[in-house]
Amino acid sequence: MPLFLSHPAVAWLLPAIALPILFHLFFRLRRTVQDFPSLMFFLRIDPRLSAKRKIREWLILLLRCLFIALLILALARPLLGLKGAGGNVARLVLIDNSGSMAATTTAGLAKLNLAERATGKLIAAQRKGDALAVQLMIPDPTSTLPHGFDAVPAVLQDSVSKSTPSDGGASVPKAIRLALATLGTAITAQRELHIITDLQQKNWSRGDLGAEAQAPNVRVIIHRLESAPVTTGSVSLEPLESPARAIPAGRIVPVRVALQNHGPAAAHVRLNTSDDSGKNLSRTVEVAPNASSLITLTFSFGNPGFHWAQAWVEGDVASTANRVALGFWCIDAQKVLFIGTKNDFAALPYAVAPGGNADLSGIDAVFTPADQLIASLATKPLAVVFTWDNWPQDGATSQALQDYVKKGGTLFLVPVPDTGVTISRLAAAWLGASAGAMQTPKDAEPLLLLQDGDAIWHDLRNGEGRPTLGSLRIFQYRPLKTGAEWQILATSAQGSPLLVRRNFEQGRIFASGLAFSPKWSSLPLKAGFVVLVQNALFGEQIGSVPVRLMKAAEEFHFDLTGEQATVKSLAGSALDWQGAARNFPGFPRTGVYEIKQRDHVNWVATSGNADEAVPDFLPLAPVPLLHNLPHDVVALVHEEDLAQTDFAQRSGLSLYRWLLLTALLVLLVETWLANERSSDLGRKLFRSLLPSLASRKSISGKARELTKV
Amino acid sequence: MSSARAFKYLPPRVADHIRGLGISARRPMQGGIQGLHRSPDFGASVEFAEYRDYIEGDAPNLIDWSVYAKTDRYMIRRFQDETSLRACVLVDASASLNYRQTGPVTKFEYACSLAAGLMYLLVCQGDAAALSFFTDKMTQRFEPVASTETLSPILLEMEKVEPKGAGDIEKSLHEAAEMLKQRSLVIVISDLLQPPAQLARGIQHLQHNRHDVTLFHVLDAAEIALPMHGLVELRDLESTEKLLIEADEIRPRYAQAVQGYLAEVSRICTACGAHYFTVETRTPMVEALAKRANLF
Repeated sequence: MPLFLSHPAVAWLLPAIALPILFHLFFRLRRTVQDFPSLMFFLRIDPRLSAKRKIREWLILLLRCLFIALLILALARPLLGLKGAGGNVARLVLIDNSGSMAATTTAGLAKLNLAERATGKLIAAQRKGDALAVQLMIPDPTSTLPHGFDAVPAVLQDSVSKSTPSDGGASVPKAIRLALATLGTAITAQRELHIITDLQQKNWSRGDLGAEAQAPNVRVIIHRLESAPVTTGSVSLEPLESPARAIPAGRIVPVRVALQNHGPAAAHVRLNTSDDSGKNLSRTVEVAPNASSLITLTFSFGNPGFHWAQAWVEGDVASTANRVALGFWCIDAQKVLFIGTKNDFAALPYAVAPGGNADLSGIDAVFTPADQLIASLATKPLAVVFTWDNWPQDGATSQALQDYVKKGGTLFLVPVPDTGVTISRLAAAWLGASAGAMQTPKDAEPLLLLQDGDAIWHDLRNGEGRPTLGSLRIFQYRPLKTGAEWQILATSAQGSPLLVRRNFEQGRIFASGLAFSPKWSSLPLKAGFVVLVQNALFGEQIGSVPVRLMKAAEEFHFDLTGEQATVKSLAGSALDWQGAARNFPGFPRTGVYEIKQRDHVNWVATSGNADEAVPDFLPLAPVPLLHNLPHDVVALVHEEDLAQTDFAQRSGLSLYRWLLLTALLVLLVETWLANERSSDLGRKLFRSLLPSLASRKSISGKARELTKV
Repeated sequence: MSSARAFKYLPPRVADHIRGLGISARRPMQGGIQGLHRSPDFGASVEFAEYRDYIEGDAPNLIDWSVYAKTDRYMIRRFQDETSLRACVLVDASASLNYRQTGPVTKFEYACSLAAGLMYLLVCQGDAAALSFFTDKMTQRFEPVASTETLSPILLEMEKVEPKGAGDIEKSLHEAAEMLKQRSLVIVISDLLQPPAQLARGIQHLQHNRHDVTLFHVLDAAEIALPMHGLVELRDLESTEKLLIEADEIRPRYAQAVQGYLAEVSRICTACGAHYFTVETRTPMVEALAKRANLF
């Protein structure tokens, strides 16, 4: 019979039981020790004096300890679990609605469906005074499950039956902590937490419950659903690379996805894609067992703004783990003004517009004479590229450039690759930089890349976070002379700045001491050169795209946490939610969602969790994740199993009054015993209770002799 | 005392006070010299004893001619002989006497003072006094002395004796009875912490050997009144046995037991023809000695 404490914190006072013993020992130490000529008179009077007193002392001590223990236990409000006894119980049913619960049980029923039915049985079997609540392991904004224990059973029944599996993986520790907190609000002392789950190994091995998750008075029962064995393929789909920056409209966007087969047999599936423009594609993919296949999907969007696309696998058992939603932020096709002729800029125009036009990068390289610069600036180019030798000498053009940069434009200054020109024209003073005379080292020097965390190195860093472009060599260069406001991004081995950047109000200025020609350095020959140039053009826009890609059921935080928010689905799982941002449960399923807060609009695209396709489940045994939380694991094969387990442990007998009564009785006996020597009645009673002690004769030798006399 | 040294157990002030006291024996004593005490023999004292017929060989000057004139018989008038006595003071030196609670001195010191006073009295009246210490046997013995000069070394030696060991009074009294060949005044000074039955056997042995026995029962007042309070752990001075008592609780019954014991010892001594005196360590020495000295 289990014993539960309603107020377990009181149990911390239990060490107080030792107080009487401490007092006893303290006063025992205070007794006086005295020499005496002979003990024979004492032994003659009552040789049992010492033993009797000791017995009484220890009896009183025992009673005092017992009194304190009973009092503390009574205050802790213990409840004795009695089989079949009455009493009310608060139950919380925590239903695992992770992606793996969409699969079937051995009986051919969907696991979540069986969980719903079992919960329904439990709701129907509630007794008067019982409290019951149902929570989902993955919070679902579409769920109508009422919070707390006050729900009407019919409403609860209906809400449970409408639950659908999510596409994400559950954070089991978080869900259990939340459930225990909810149980803590129950008014009944007897509490039960029923977790209905398939014990999918990936979910139940993630995270840590933490030592603070205590469940006093809560009986935790895990109802394990028996999953049907997977004999076919079990394919998951997840995006590996997706664009993190704004995409010029019309640019082709490659997205790499991985199809991984977790099943024991080869999977023959169809991979379908669709986007918001209505383009639908489908292809057949074969994935070997326990292998993965990488596929690059391409999308292109003609208009600026937000666009989405979806990919999903058809013909596989892990339906919740093979759906992907993607979001893209497109901007208008951009142009970069090159002031001069094409030859003045070597490979740079090709890095800006790889196809010679805006088809691939969404950026067009436009060559303009210097005298038309002012007119061209009116078209708001993405960037303007000058050579050091072609810097405008008239004040109006220089002023126009300065205004352009101040308003957010990007200015590039590069040397002319023609080696015959070594003396540049004087740059404007507001630039704060100039290029020195050409230098040609005898041996090629390495190019050193600095400022590891700078956005210009995005997608160019190695595993250690260092920017890497392979082995970079410089053959000739013009060292830059810059002020303190310039940030050095690359230098020669001798420390000469060769690539620098400065912010100029809202815009930026890049200055290079290297012409992007293979004659000057090996940089243009590197694959990362195009990325470097694209990063420089888009700069800080990386990461500021209002689109977030995440896995379903991942923790989501709004930009404005304290504000109201509206969440609507654009594709995938339907969702229309409105409320305080802090109350939003999250995105449990795959889809594309639009989030509005004040005048801010963001988009979220969620994908299924590949882990949910892994058909590995924990056995019917205590779960390691809950090692510090006592629990039972029982099989749930039929929907009636849950109710049977429950009623076997219904508890009812409160020991509060009994313990209090016993404590008072003990106190009474203790008081009587402690004052026994001054009370004749007490002495008589004592002797009647311990007659053997009262009549026992001495066995002491001296006493025996005295008795003879 | 003519000695210039002040003895611990016989201070000059006490000696001066007790000098006038005298100690006598109940039974006739056999001393070596003329003394103050009645002898079982006939002698030349002023105290008439009896008449007897003249026997040939008696000295003619012993014939009471007045009787002859009246009865025509030769009668000899005999007188009671007076002799000195031999006393033996037995002092208990067991560890239980090393106790002092309410009195000014320990029981042993008091016993020694009492012994010194008695010996001084005896010597002063021309008797011989011997001294022995005992525990569970005779531990130290001093030969009889008959003058204050010979008493002094004994008094000095007494100061060196320390009470220790377990006592056995009965055994010691048996040993004393065997040791004393001549009728003696035997004065036992002890706390008599032994079952009365055993004590009686020892006294009877001495009485049987025609000794005149006197017992001084030395007690500290605390042994009777049990003045301590609360929880007390008592440690037996002789056996180191311990006993935890609640003094207030046990006091009445303890006092009753002690009084019963004293009465029992007194009854036994009376039955044996021995003198029995209880003295507390608070009792002035002169007063204690006077109890015995003024007996006859």
